[in-house]
Parts: sequence; C-alpha cells; structure tokens
Amino acid sequence: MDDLERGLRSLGQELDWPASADLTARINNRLDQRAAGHRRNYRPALVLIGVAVLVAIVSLSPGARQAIARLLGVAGVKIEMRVETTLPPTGNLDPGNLDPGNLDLGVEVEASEVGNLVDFPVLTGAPADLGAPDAIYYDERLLGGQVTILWAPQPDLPQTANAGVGMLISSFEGRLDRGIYSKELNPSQHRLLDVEVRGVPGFWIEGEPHVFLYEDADGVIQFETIRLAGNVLLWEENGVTIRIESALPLEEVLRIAGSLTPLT
Amino acid sequence: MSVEGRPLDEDALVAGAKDGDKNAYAELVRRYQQIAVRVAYLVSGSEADAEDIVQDAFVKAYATLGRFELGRPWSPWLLRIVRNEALNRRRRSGRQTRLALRMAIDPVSGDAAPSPEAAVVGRDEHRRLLRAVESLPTKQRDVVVCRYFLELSEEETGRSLGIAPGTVKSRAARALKAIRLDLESESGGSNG
Repeated sequence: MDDLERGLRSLGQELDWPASADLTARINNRLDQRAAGHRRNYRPALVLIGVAVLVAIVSLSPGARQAIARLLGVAGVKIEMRVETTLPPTGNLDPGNLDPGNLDLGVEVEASEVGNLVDFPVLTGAPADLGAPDAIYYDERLLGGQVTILWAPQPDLPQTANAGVGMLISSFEGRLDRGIYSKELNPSQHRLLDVEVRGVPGFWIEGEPHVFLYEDADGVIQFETIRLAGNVLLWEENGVTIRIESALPLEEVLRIAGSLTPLT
Repeated sequence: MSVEGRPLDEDALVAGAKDGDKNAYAELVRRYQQIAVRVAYLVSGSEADAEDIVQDAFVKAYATLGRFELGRPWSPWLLRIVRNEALNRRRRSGRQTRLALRMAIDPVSGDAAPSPEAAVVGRDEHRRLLRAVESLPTKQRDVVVCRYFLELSEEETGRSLGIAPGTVKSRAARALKAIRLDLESESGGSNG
C-alpha cells in the first residue's frame, strides 16, 4: 500500500457516514415474526430441479449430448435437452395483464442509467429497424447484471405469446467459471440449429416456452420460468451472452442481430 | 476496523446460524451492520433508507442461509443482498442522485490524539484528496469508496457494486492514477 492508498484510508475515517443504531434487536424481532414455514418452500424446489436435471441427462440421446457439447462453447451458457418437464409451466402470466413486470425482467431503468449499472456494452436495435425501445430492464440477480430491452409489437414485429411484447434483447456477462445459464428444451417440441451470428457461432431455438436455470455467483442453482414463448437466437460476443426472443423467423432475427449497435 | 481482518470463527457463527442459532446470527449482525449500512447508503444515496435496507437485507440473508456454502467468506454474500435491496429501494423512489461524500466536522474516532494513519495526511490534504475522489467518474469513485473508505476486500467491493473482482482491480488502478494526476496538477498549479 502506498502513501496515496494510506491517505485514502485515513480520509475514510474522517468521512461523515450516517450514524447507525444497533439493529440487532430489530432484526431479531423481525426474524421471530417470520412465519416458520416461510423458508421451507425453497429447498424442495431445488431438490426437484436436481432430480429433473438428472433425469434429463440420463435420457439424452447421443445426438443431444453432442449438441450440449457444442453449446458449451458459448461462454456462460449451457443448454440441456430434456424429455419431460417436471418444473412449473411458463409462469403466471395473465393474458389480460399487459404489465411486462410479470415477465420478471427486473426493474425498469433509463437508457442513460445502463452504463452505470453494467460493465459491458449493451447492444440495441438500430433505429431504422425498430425505433427506440419501449422499455429497458435491469436484473441484478446475475453477477454483473442482465439488461433486457423490450419492444412492443409493431406492424413488422408480431406480438409474441405474451401480450404487449414483440421482442426482447437480453445481454449478460457470460463467464465460463460462473454464471452458468441453462435452458431446458423438450426435443419433441423444440428445434435447435447452429447458426452464424455477427461472424460468431450462435444457436437458434424454436419452440414452446421453457424453463431456464442458472447458477449464480455463489454456486447456487437458481431457476425462473422463461418469460417469452417464442424463438430465441443466442450467441456470445466478447464475453457477453446476447439473446433475442421474438416470434420472428430466423432470417429476420439474424438481420436484426446484424444491425445491432451499442446502446448509448 | 478492516472487514478484511475478519475473525476466524466466522464460519462457526454462520454454521450456527444455518442451524437456527439466533445468537450466532445476532453476532453476525453486530459485526457487519455498520459496513452494511454504509454500503446501503452508498448504493441507495439515502441516509433515511439505509437502516431499513439493511434490516431487510439481514432478514433475507437469514432466509437464504441454507443456500450459503460454508467455508466461504459470508460478508460478500451479505453485501450483495444489501446492494440488491438498496438498488430496488432507489429505483422505487426514482432517486437518481449521486451520494455526496463529506468530511465530518470532527474526526469520527473522537479520540483526543489523531490515529497514526490520520497523521499521515493532514486535514487540508484530506480535503484536497476528497475533492479529487469526488471528481472521479461515479464507477471509479464507488470503487475507491468501497476499497479505501469502507476498507472492503476486492470480493466484497465487487459484490457491493455488482462487478467482477478483476473490474474492481482495474477501476481502482485507474482511479488512483486519476487522483495522482489531479493532485499533481493542483500542486503544480499552486506552486507556479
């Protein structure tokens, strides 16, 4: 540690931080008030996932295993084919409710905030194609955060199975040693293609809504029901995993992917 | 006290808390509440909200202890939850302000004699240093606050700010360089 670092530490001791009371008693009271059963809900869910993934891996065909091996080439992404889904179906989306918050995309943020929230470049649609996005969401549950950009349906952008949603573009920092993200696909209901996106290998998945799992930075497997029934284009670019979800055909999504520019 | 110098029996406390020992968890609360409040303050920008954020975070951290892997430092886990709570609170309030750091009128320690560290740099120099820190871009400024003012480890800083430890290191290096340049230009200007 040099003089400057020592000086900064010394300065830290002179800063006017909020005076904080001892919160121990208040926190203890709140813990006492919590319903005893509140915590039990999570563990059975994790066990259920563990069993489901095991069943899926045992049931894989050799072709599916090869597909998985290929897919592992996308940093931070793992896709697993599975025969049956024992996990909850696609969420609790109410068709009559247009609130995209139901899609569990995180909290809505302004475009100007994104640069302060994440440390990677976020790609967005070229204005000529899509116009300005209708909303931007930030989800901090992934280490490094995930940014999802939403467009409402337009004349050239059909509505997905979710009311009010035409397309989502999500970006998160994919890493090989953490933040593993996984989708579970039913081979009889999904089509999986290797494609080239913006000059790098990517994957195209068509089919029914699915569940996705990811391992967070603490090594804990988290799961969420996928937010959008539609087609997914997925690729990794400079350490960032990007996916486009929409009801558009592959050719059109590839064209949009090719036109993406950094969000400023 | 540096959070990096965490006592060795933290694992035992976390293990006890996982088994439902409220006293063990109360001890963890006592150890980390101050640093948690400061991180909440930094991220939320609100002194009024900081204690509520920290209470919520400790309750959530307790509820998720079953998922915590023993043997790893617990504070980064806690600080990540604090950060999430603080961000949610900030968004709900629509607050966009950047926290303004200020020096206390009297040294926080209240000791009659300055600590050896405080003696290294005088109070005027501290003011210049604080001005230099405040003129940093927010991302770098927040890393400086965590690493040097709150004395968090790189991992704790990363979890508090939602960035990878490597990014903490690189931002800290850039920040120190910028502060040096700032101080040099200031002293160069005043000396002629």
